[in-house]
Amino acid sequence: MLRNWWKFLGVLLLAYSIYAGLATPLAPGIISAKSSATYTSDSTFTVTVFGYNTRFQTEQSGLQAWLMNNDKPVCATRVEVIDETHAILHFPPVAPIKDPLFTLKMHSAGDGLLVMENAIWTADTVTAGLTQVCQPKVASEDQNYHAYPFRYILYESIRNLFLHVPMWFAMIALLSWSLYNNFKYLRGFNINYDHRAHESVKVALVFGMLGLITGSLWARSTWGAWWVDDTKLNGTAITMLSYLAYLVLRNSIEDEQKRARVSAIYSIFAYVMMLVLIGLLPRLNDSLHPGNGGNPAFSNYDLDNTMRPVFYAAVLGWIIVGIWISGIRYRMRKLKEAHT
Amino acid sequence: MWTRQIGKLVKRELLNETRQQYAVFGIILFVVSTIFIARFSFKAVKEIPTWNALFWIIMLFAAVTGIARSFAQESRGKLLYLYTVADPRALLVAKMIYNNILLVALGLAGIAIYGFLIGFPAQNVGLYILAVVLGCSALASGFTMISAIASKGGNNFALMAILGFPVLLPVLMAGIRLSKFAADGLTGDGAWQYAGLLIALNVAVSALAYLLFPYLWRD
Repeated sequence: MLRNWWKFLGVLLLAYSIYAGLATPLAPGIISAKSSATYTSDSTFTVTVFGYNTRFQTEQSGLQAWLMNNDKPVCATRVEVIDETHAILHFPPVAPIKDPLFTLKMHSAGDGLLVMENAIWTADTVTAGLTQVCQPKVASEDQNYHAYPFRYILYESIRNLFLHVPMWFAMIALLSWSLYNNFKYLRGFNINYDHRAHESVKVALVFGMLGLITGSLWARSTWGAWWVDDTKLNGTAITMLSYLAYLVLRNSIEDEQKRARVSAIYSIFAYVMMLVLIGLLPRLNDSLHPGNGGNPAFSNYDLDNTMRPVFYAAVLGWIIVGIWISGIRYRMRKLKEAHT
Repeated sequence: MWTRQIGKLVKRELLNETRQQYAVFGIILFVVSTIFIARFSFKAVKEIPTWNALFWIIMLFAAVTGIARSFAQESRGKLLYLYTVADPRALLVAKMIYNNILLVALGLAGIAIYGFLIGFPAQNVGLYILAVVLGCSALASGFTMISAIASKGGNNFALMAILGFPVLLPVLMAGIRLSKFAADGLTGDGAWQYAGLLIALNVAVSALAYLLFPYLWRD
């Protein structure tokens, strides 16, 4: 029982990451804002706002809205709330300074600060304008609820972080485990290590396929295509090809010991090239992935504090479960061989 | 002692080649006919990226064809003989040196024929030739090891391609990028970064092969 503590840990971590990943709501945010006029300097205009998870009606009394242009705020004269997620904002005539883009901000005690960057574009070309600058009263910018960050374009798909990214961590962990077993095999030529290495490569390939599928779905909803030409994508696809070649190589050799030796050598080769493909080349190229153009890792900005513990739990949980599966497969293989 | 052994083994490879010239002529013929096919199917290649990629694809297949024989050509008797007299690492180093010479020469001949038949729009000729030399050298080292692995697994050409292409793709990509810089006439940190990467990959692949080959050699 105690010997298997890590299996319990893996199940617990996975259960936590799946529950917290799906049950935690998304923070309120603004999905779209439509202006009634493109020439905002002529007359009063309205902005129709569509929110997500917002509580405009509940928070009606303290709801403020203002537009930002060059760090100068212009407050709405009236906020007309239709329901929890719809509101019409009335603005006085206002001309942008230099930049014809306005950032929309809304604030209420319950929803906190809602920001939509470059929400409104105007055709005005005034270089000196913007009248009626106001001071919005924001007590605190902190959101006092537990929720995942609302990100434009990402929206609810941000939860995919807990499924997509751990797949790659698990794949790399399993391939590293396989590499370790390959070294062990080459030290003493004990065929059991070869079997362990083989099974963990197979499980790693399953995780790789799952990573490609979750990534492809995510890419479709955020980048607009099932497959994009991205260095990380191509790198992982090539890594999987080289490990599929490893399986082909194994099938082409009859003798068990010879097969183990040759394929161990090939997989060490493939592992080193994988490090180059997904560790080094993305640093030299631009990538659509977060932390792109130089750093293939996450930065503080990409990972919110509410997501961090869930993400780490998911990574560790999937790695443990992956190693566990490969161990079970190895034992099944032993039993099958003992019977024949 | 060790360098003498390597020298003798390289000499043996060269002697082999001069005795059965059809092998080297075969690869040259392969390159020339592929370039002719490219010429007939493309007429003229106007875009530089396509022109550049086409050359590297031809070189990649030439490398597989040329180096696939490296271990496969040895008969069982010869292998047993080498096993008793030579150090496996010396044998690998000798094969690598020989394949490097072969493939770099093939690459230089290839770019000359390719430039003659398809055109040579590259702006920085010196850097382009450097890219060909570095890329072919790295491909030669990598494919030498792959051919040793493939020779243990039934010796077929398809296996060599299946094993070699994904693993040596970083080398090919670095080669393509560097020669693209040369073709566009750009020199700078970007170009030298890829040149450095090619050299580093070559060293890494050779070192790995050197460490692992004795395990492969023992039968």
